[in-house]
Amino acid sequence: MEATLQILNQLEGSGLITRYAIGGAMAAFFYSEAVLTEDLDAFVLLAQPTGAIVTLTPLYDFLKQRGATEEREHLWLAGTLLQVIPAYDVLTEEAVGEAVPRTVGETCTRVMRVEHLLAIALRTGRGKDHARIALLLQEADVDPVRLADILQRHGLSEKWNRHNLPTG
Amino acid sequence: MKGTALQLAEDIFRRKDASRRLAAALPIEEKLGRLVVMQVRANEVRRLAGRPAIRVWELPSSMRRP
Repeated sequence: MEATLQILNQLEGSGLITRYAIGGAMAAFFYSEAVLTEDLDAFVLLAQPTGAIVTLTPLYDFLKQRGATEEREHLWLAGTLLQVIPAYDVLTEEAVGEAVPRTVGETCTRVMRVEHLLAIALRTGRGKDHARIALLLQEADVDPVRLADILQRHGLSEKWNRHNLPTG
Repeated sequence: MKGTALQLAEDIFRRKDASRRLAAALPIEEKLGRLVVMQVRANEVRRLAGRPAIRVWELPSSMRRP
């Protein structure tokens, strides 16, 4: 895991991406107690503007040069199943941009804020996302003002309220 | 594959969902094996983040449901 993050930091340093942040279940792991997940979702901000035609091939090539191999839909990199996901809308771009620094072992990385994880899970809306929302609301230290602001700006307040979820 | 970031992400999520459906049909022995592997990885992250490990047999009591 730590070695994987070090290589992701190298990827960011290479300029192939402008920034990355851990998202998905592994990010929830930093805020809640028990989460089982198979892979590490690394959301990346690509250098190209949103809406441009892009490819992840240069990123994959960079990671393969550092030992990554393809396993099912993932990359197997330094002992971790890795999924590189381009930030694909304004919400995920903001989540990567405002991700907070964390230290894993002795390696610095970034993790999406819990309020963004909640908003992304709400927007995605699968059963497992609702379970993640419930878990985070129970166990994480959520900033209700920040959450309400994110939900409002991304048009998710009504959906949040429809599920009768608390913001604070 | 080339496409917009949204198209690439949707393709990734489609493949992840398909992989989960395949995993759901695996024999229970294989599922348990994957569970143990996932738990080992999860505990590695917990240890690196300075938190105590959780044992597989402690999961039912530690996983809260809505």
